[in-house]
Amino acid sequence: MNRFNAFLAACAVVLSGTARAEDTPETEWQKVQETFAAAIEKGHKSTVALEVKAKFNVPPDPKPLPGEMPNTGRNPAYTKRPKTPTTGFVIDKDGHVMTSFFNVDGKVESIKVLFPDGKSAAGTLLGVDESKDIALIKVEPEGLELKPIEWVEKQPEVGAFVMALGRSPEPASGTATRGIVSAVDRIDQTFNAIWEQSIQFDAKTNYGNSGGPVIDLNGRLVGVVAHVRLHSPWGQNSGISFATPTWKIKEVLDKLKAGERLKKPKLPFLGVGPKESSTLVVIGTISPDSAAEKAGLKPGDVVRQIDEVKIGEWGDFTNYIKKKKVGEKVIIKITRGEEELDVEATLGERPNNQ
Amino acid sequence: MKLNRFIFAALFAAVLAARAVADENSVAAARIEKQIRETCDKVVPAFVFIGGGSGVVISSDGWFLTNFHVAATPKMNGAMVLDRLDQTCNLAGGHFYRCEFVGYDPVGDICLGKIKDAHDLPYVELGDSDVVKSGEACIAVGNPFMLGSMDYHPTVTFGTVSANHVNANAGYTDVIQTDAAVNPGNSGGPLFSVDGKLLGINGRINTRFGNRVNSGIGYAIPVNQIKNFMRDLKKGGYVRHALLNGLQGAQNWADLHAEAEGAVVKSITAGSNAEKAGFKKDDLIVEVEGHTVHNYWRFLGALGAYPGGSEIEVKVKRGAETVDIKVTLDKMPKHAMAKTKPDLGATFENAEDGSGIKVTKVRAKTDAALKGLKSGDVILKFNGQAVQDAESLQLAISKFPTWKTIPVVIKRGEVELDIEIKLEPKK
Repeated sequence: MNRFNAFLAACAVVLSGTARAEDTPETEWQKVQETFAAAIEKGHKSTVALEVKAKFNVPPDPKPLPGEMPNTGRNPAYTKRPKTPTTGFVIDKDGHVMTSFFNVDGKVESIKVLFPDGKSAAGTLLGVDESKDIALIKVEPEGLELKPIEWVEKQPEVGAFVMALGRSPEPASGTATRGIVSAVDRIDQTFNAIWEQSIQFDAKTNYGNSGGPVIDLNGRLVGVVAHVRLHSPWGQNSGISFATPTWKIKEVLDKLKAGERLKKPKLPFLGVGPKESSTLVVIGTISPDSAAEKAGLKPGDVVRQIDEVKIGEWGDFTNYIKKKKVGEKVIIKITRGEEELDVEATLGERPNNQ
Repeated sequence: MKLNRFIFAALFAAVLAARAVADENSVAAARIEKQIRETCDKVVPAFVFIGGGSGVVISSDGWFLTNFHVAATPKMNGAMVLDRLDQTCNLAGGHFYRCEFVGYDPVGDICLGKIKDAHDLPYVELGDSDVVKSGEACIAVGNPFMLGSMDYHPTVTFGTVSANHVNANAGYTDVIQTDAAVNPGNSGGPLFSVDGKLLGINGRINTRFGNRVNSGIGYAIPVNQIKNFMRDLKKGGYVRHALLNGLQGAQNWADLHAEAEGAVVKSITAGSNAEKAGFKKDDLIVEVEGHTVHNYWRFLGALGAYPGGSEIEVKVKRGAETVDIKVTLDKMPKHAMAKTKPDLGATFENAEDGSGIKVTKVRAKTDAALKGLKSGDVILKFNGQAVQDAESLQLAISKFPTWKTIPVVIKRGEVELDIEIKLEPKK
């Protein structure tokens, strides 16, 4: 009995010592590093490598942004995929594996899923959502030790730490890059793989970790790594990465499980270009056969308001239209000469070359 | 059995200890993350979307900083043009403001602007860029690839100070180097310490093969340099950087790389400012205004942080002695853009018969000539304001930048005409 009491007393001393140890900057940083390491280790358990054999679709070469120098180094080899695996992650014990649509964009012949413990299994492609850049694969769970990733519902805030996990080029070795959340609810349909709200972050992502999980400090899933933005030459990441958030995945998970292929929507298009003016928002050009032409808008019209939104500069005007859908009506208040007019336009579809 | 209780107690203690350690680890990490998030909340509202780049508000009444190359735009012939007036910008969140550019530093790539009709704006505090060391964390806020131009949420990136007091040439002579991701569109935007103080203005990235995307090397103009120029920037117009005439240091790589303890004075020009200040050949320059100088390239970089005409203290080693030299720095020649004055493209004078301001000669190949201004026309209004005499008209013209188009009302005989004339650079 005495020995037991002494032992308990010793435990108490040890525990209290652990709780009150003085922190030097080195030990504090060490603790931080250990948190990151623990989160990454947890996330890696659910992360898998994918070997996809397919006749892949080649993305169109995007036009440079206005005022941007054309990238002189754009290399056709960019559209050739490296022969290394890409990444995915296990979401449940039934054998569902999530990845990015980019990794399976084409005529898929076979998918091999490689697990952290060395086992592998054939995967069947179920559903895809093109504008979220996500895809769902199914493996048969028998004989596999599946460790589904823990999801988080709430979107992270700007400044939160995130890590992008991968299993490329060697499936047995997990990789991790680290950064912070740069912006949330980001929509960019010019160069991004994701056409809906995304989490923007600065952890480096490239070909190999496309489709991998983005995790928080607690090792929980906040989003799926999207294919690196087409803007940079050779598909090289420059600190601008995107992920589809978990709340967006939840919107379509049942449809993906059912094998639905959700295609990219047509983007809304009014068909106007600006006239350079430092103080006013003036229409300069009208695209032929466009919604703007059909509505009767003319070059020289000064745009004052669209629906409830007062227009201060051209960006306000285009930003509002980008958030609408094809077929929606908008009311544009303009000044033409001396007159003030309300013009109703029904948004059309953006042509492929715009 | 007693042994079972031992085992149980030992396991229990081990689990508690492990959990205590893990909880402490995550508390430390969560604390750092919280600081970053709180800094973001504090500084992002002061972010400015302007032109093709970024800026940051530094006072509640609307002074803001951006890069000169964000404020000035290139014209077709390659010339850079700064249109001072009638600018617009948005703060993070989208609120629209009218603003103007007040002070310009084309060499140091800084422009000081003022948001009009502003009070109680969110703003950031200026930090101390001199004490920043390699390895410190830093946060950049910007609008790379115009990603924030739709929702007016800027992009926040996180990285490390790679080096301080870097001379990256071409005006970026005393910069902070960082690996925080900055890309085209980040120009003019702020670089912060983790506690939210402004360290510098991001303006350039180092890339190869024409790849205009970040590869881990970004340069920010340090806030202490901006503070040195702030009075001149607020006065308005083009500021002038400093030179030290008459002092030459290492002229080739071999000589430069042989220096580590200071900048060797290779020669002094007789009768020059450097000679008058007291510099001598073979002096070893070791400090500029308290900053360590380890070679001539760094010395030149240190000079770049001061306006021309500043009096600075330089410490040199001369044999066994240490000598403190006070020197008033020379001014760089006026920048080409500072030299262009706007001109109507025509000469005018007060009409002798008192009828007003009469055009005496319209120069060929000017916009005035193209728009049909003629000798003998009487100028009634300039930019919507009635003009009384030639002197006040000249003054009115001088307030505009070259290439600005101004509406002019003239009288030709009995007829009043409206003409729009683009101001030319005065030859």
